[in-house]
Parts: sequence; structure tokens; C-alpha cells
Amino acid sequence: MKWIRRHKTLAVAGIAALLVLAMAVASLFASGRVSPASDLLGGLMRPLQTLMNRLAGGVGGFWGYVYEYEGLLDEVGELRLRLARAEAEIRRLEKAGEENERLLELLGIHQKRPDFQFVPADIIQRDMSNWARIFTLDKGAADGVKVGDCVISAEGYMVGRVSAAGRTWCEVVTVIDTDMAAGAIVDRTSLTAAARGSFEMMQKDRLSLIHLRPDVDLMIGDLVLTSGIGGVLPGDVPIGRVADVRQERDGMSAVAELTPLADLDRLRVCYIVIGFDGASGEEEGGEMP
Amino acid sequence: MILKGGAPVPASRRAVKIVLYAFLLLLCTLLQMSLLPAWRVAGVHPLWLPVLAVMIAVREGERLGLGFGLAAGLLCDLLLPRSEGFFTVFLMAAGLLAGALCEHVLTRGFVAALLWSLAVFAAMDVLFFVLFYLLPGRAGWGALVSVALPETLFSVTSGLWLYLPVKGIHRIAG
Repeated sequence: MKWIRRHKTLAVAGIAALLVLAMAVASLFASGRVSPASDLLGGLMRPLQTLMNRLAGGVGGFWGYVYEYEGLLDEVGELRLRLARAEAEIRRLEKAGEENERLLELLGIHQKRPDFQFVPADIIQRDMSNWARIFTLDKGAADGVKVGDCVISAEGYMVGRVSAAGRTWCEVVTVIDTDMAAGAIVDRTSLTAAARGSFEMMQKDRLSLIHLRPDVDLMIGDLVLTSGIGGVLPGDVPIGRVADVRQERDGMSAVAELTPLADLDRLRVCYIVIGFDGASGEEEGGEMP
Repeated sequence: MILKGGAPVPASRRAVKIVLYAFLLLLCTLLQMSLLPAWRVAGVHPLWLPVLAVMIAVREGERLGLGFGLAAGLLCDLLLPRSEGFFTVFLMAAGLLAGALCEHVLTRGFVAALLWSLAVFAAMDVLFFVLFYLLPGRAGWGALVSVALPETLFSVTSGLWLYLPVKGIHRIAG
């Protein structure tokens, strides 16, 4: 005991060494089982290990943030670039889709009316007035457009006629405008008449078929086409369908109301017929009646 | 510009007022180009630009009446086809007249704004019809009933709300 008292340090170290040796020997014979001492030590150390682990993670993350910041900036820049490229690609594809749609429409009209020469045009302004139904298109004399040219929709329905042509634009009076006048023919009966716009009809988004005999053979839904007589307008272009037939006040004639086939409120693209078989060419440079 | 009490309005406040009125005019123009054409009653849609010009003239007098009549008229001529500068000349003159009479002779309240709007709009439509449709033989008097009458009534009644922002700007900017 005296030796122990004199050599405390050596004694503690020896005891510790003996304990470690005992634990090592015990672990040799434990064959995978956890000794009670290890279990106790592990239980005591676990919260500390968890805390240390978290601290280490936090510190590592902070250092990672500090050291990798430049890399992250580069990555953000790269991702932004890729996003911009992807957006540009989407825009290009959308444009290509629209162009494809337009070309398909064009092909459709070409197949329906191979005798037409036409120019596609976008509507750049719609009139804001209650006195007229006029469009402005983005094609003009430089594209071969002239006053009096017929304007049709993608489906081939009559939209109106060119009433004024600038170099890069033209003004179109639609079929329901008061200045609209065209020779017409009823598809079912081959009856010829004049299709005209008026204020009264314009308020209803319609036009009239005038100068009809009181006993005219017309049915609601009859298809009315351009007659093409005179060669000013191409023939057989659908204008509208008969919506109503009524006697004039004098009882000497009848009037039919036509609903236009072209959807004038939703049109975005029109096709200006700048040439067709049988055109008279009288309208070139002239004023529209 | 002189207030009723005689105190001059600072130039900065007058500038603010003009900017606010210009903003209101721009808003009206955007509405005119986007939503209003689809809002149709009796076959017509409202036209608010002339109503706004008259209301500014009634509240502010001849100078701003002339200026905003000119601006509203120019915008109308840009938006409406076949007008050949008619709206610019007419609304400029109407703004000047309404502004001068309200500044020196008549009152500047809501009723005055309503009556002036009705009178100016009706006169504008009749004159436009006579010059561009009746005299060239493009339409008969029936168009006045089918277009001018509903357009005047619908535009003025639906545009009466414009009096509130005009009055507000007049009060805020002095």
C-alpha cells in the first residue's frame, strides 16, 4: 500500500492498463456480444457523439459553403444560361408551330382553290368605331395588294374587300360594313342577288341580300356565295347563310338577312386574293365602289 | 392658373395634375382598345375618350380642356377609321368651349359634367354622321337612330364613373 501511495500515477496507469487488458480479453471471448462495460460506455457516449457529429456537420457545411460559394455561383450562372437557352428553344418551337399551322391553312386553301393567288396577312388593327367594321392588315401595294381585292379567311370564307392600300398596309371593309357590296348567288337555287351591308344589319353582325322577289325561294340556312359576275370578285366564295327572310314595307320585294361564315371577331390572319382565274383587272389602282 | 380664391397654383402641382390626367387618358385608351369593343349593348360599344375630355374640361377650365380635348381627339382619330382628323378638331373645340363656359359662367359639378358630356357627344355624332355618311350619300337618317343615339346614351352613362377620378385629381393636385 505504501508503494501505491508513493507511486499514485503509476498505480492508476497500471490499473487502467489492467482494465483495458481485461476488456480486450473479454472482447476476445465475447464473440460478437457487447460487454456490459462497453454497453454502458456506448450509452454514455452516444449523446456526446451525436452532438459532436452535428457540430462537425455544421462546421463542415459552413466551410463547404465558404469554399464552394464560387462554385455555386458558377453553377447558378450555368443553370441560368441553360434556362435561357431552353426558353429560347421553346419560343422557337412555338413560332415554328404557328408557322406550321399557317402553312397547313395555306395548303388547305390552295387545295380548295388552286386558281387563287393570295397573300397571307395579319390583322394589325381593328376599328374601335360603331360606324364601321374595318380591319387594317399588314400587307399592301408592295405585296401586290390593290383596292377591291377579295379577302378570305383560312377556311376560305369571305371576310371583306380591300378598300384602301398603302405600301405596307391595307384597309379591309368586312362583309358586314356599310360599304360592303358584292354580287351573290344562292347555292341551292342559283338565284342571283346583291349582298350589301347596312347600319341596321351591322348592329346585328349581319348583312342583307336585297332586291329579292316577294315570293323568293329561300330557306333558313341556305348558303350564299359570291357570284363572280363581272370578274371583280372571284366566284363561289362562301359569304354567309340565310338567317331570316322578310318582306319589305312596300310589299314589292323581300330582304334576306345573312350571317357571315367568317368569324370576324376572332380572326387573326386573313388571305388577300391578289389574282384568280377570270379576273377582270378593272379594279387595279381604282376606287372601290 | 388661378384658383377661385385667387391664389396661384404652383407649377409643380399643375405638372402633377397634368401627369395624372394623362395617365387616366392612357388607361381609358387601353380600355378602349381591349375590353370596351366586346361590351356591346344595342349593337354598339361605349366610347369613353370624348367623355373623359369633356369631364376634364368641365373641372379644369379652358386651358386643360383645350389640351386634353386635343389629346383625346388625336387618340380617337388614331383608333377610329375614316375620321380624317375630325375628332381632333371637334374635341379640341368642345374642350375649349366647355372649359371656358364652366370656368367663367356655369357650374363645375356632376350635373354639369353629365349634361356637357351628353351635349358634346350628341353633337359630335350628328356632325360625324352628316359629314361622313349623309352628305356623301352613304347612309340615310335612319343611321342616327340605329348608331348615334345608342352610342351617345351608352357611352355617356357607362362613362360617368370617369367623373370620380377627374374630381379626385382636381382635389389632390389643386
